[in-house]
Amino acid sequence: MLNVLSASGQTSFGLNGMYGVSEESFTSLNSYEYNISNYSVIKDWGFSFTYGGEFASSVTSNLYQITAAKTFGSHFISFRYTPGYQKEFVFKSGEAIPYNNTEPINLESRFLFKELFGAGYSYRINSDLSIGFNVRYFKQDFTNENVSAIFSDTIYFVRETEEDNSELWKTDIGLVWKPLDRLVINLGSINLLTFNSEFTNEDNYDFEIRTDKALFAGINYSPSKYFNLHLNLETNNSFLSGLSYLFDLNKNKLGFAVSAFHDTEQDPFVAGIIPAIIFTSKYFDLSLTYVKYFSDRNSTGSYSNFKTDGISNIINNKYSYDKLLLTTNFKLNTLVEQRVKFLGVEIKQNIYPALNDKYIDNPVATAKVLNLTNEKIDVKPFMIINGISEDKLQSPIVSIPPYDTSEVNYYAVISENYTGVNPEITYANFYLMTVNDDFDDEYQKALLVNGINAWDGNVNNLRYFIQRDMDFSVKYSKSILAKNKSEIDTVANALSDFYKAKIIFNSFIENLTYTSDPRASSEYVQYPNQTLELKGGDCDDLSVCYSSLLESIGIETALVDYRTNPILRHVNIMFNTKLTPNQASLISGNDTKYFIRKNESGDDEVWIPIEITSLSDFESAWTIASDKFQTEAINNFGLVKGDVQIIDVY
Amino acid sequence: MKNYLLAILVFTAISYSQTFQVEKVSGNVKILSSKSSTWKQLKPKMILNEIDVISTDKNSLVLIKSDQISFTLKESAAITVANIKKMSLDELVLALAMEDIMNVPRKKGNEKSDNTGVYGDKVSEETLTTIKSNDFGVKRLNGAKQLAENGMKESAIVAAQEVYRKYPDTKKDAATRIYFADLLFSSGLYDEAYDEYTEIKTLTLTIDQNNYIDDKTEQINKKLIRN
Repeated sequence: MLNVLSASGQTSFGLNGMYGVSEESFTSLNSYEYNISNYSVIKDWGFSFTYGGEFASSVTSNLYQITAAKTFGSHFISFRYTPGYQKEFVFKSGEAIPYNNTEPINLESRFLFKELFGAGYSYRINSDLSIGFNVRYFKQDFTNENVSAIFSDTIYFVRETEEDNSELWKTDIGLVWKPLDRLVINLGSINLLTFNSEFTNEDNYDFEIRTDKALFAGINYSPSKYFNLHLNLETNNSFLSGLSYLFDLNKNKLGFAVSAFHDTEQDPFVAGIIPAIIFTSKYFDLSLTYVKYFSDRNSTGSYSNFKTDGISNIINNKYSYDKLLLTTNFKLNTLVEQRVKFLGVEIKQNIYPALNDKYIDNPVATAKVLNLTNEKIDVKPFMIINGISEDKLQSPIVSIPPYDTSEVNYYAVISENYTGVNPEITYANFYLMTVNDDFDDEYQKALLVNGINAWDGNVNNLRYFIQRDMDFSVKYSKSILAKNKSEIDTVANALSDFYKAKIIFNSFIENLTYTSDPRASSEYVQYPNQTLELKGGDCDDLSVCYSSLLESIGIETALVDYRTNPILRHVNIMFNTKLTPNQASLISGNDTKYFIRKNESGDDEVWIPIEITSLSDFESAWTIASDKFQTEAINNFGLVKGDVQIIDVY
Repeated sequence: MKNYLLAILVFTAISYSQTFQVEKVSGNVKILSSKSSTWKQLKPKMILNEIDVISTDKNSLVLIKSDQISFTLKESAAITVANIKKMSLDELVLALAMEDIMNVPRKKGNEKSDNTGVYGDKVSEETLTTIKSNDFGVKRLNGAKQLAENGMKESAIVAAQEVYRKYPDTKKDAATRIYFADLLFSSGLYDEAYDEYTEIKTLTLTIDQNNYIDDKTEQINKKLIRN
């Protein structure tokens, strides 16, 4: 059972001037005194040095401590070497002995207390809770001078020095809990476990460091981001309280801290004050701290009082002198600091390789990304789809405010060389990059990549099938036109497109037959070369093929999507004859067989629809298509009702 | 958006297929079916398809009937059978919206060039003789007028719009255009009527026509301000 007494003095006393434990309190790196749980704010390596001077009767300077610390994921360890944590007391015995007929010599007792080193470990359970412990090693070297009488021919006195020492190990545990964003609770034990070697001389036990057990509770509250109030309480009734404030200095911070403390072993009630100037930056921190005691420290203490009260703290006791201390921390980060991370990735659409351009404007996936820093960050998203893309493709940069979440879109470019026929499940790797050379985070998610002939059923996207195979279509159309050169040469220029379209139609249609999709489960569209090679296809295939052949020679086409029957939709095409309405009678005296559309310049042009699946001659295909268009698109208001849609290929 | 959105919302599917039969033919009346490229003589008892076009010469007429409509196409007129129907105002608004859809200019950026180099398209100035199809356009407008005279004002407007698109030269006839603009006005389609009057104003007009249009546009302005 923990036996909590209130006999010892204050122990939660560091040398850095900032006593709060928070994300901003870098000084906790070297202070097991009030950072009992070894709480860490560093990302990787940390090194700390404190050099200072003590204003005794003469100023003495010393290296107080060197600390090295390292974070391993959620684990944090530190090691502290403290050559300056020592205090020596010298008492004159008052006895004087003659010595070799010289002046009498006073005998002395020396009590040297040293804290040599310590080590700490903590584990961060989550962002709000950290637990840990520290172990500290002390040494107590006591020297007493005695006089021994030597009896021989005469009596003479010999001064003897009796040395006695004891080692002391102390272990304490603690935790840091952050119940609210601006509130941190810091709890720990004082002298929970102590082990010490025995003195040779039992009298020396009266002078050893007091190790009475106690509890420590620190409260750290930040009314604003850089304004910090702290109160450290000990169950021995000692306490320390103060504040610190940091000002933004570009990316660095400059500020001050001031604390006052009450120590049950020291007078007056407020035993002293500790002002400090603080500078903190990304790579190093500085603090210049002055410890000012209010009682007179140059008076001589009595041996009996020292024997009765002893000391509880080597660096802060009623015999301590004012100090000026300079502490420097270095923060070395050899790790890639993760600045953003994925919260999740949603696949927005499966891949249809034929619709390659579509994924440049419409994201394949959207990620939720969290900015882990207190700065606005520009995130570069990269994605690679296994089997589809060889290189990581960067999507547009997204800026994310500090500690905020944003949606990041991933776009893709599907290689035109992709030839996969069957659908397959593959994996897409998503990456986030910020300022580092390496990626901040990665995410992998399964993705369905359809075959090269797969179509999503959206007639708008048939144009990708038309556009993709254009080289083949150019050759094919030109070969037909070349065979009919003499006929074309006799045609008036204004009728050129009309007759070219007619010649190509009559040539390419003669060997085709209508066949349904080979796969009932998904839409399947053939490329023009496949349709001509297989000598057939359904309405999609035939429309794509004819449209591609016309587009390849500069004749504008549009797909006409008939949706009146939602189960069995139909597609045919219309093309631009480039004739004006006044010239329309050159191709037909029946004005129900053509339709007028404005071009980009606002001029009316004559378009005619063609039903390729009729697999008949051009005139019949035209008549069937115009009847259908006139009836469903015009007479039944299909264009307005959305039952019929005209989709320009380009 | 004028009244189009409302019209689409209230529109319910209507079948326009109705069978017309020729009751009486007087003079020279012809029919052009979609499956034929030549005009044929119209004869009594013939059943008409909705895409068929009928045309009368001078001093000719034809009476056709369906279950609901009896319609006489008088001399020097032409009409598509599908246009002979009673339409509500909402349907008229829809039909006008469709005209707008057809009229939406396609996106710019189509910079493809014709393959003039390979196949030797003539690059020299070539003036193609435009067949004077204006006469047939006038006939169609006459047909549209007769729809209005038979109480099918909305169908008349739709028919006239189509004629103006396919036979743009007919748009120069200010008197006829004023006639159809007045139909829009009387149907309460003031925005559309205003646009039409404004366009007519750019034609060569008589003083009376000019004054008439000014008066009409002022009336529309007052009505629009009041609304």
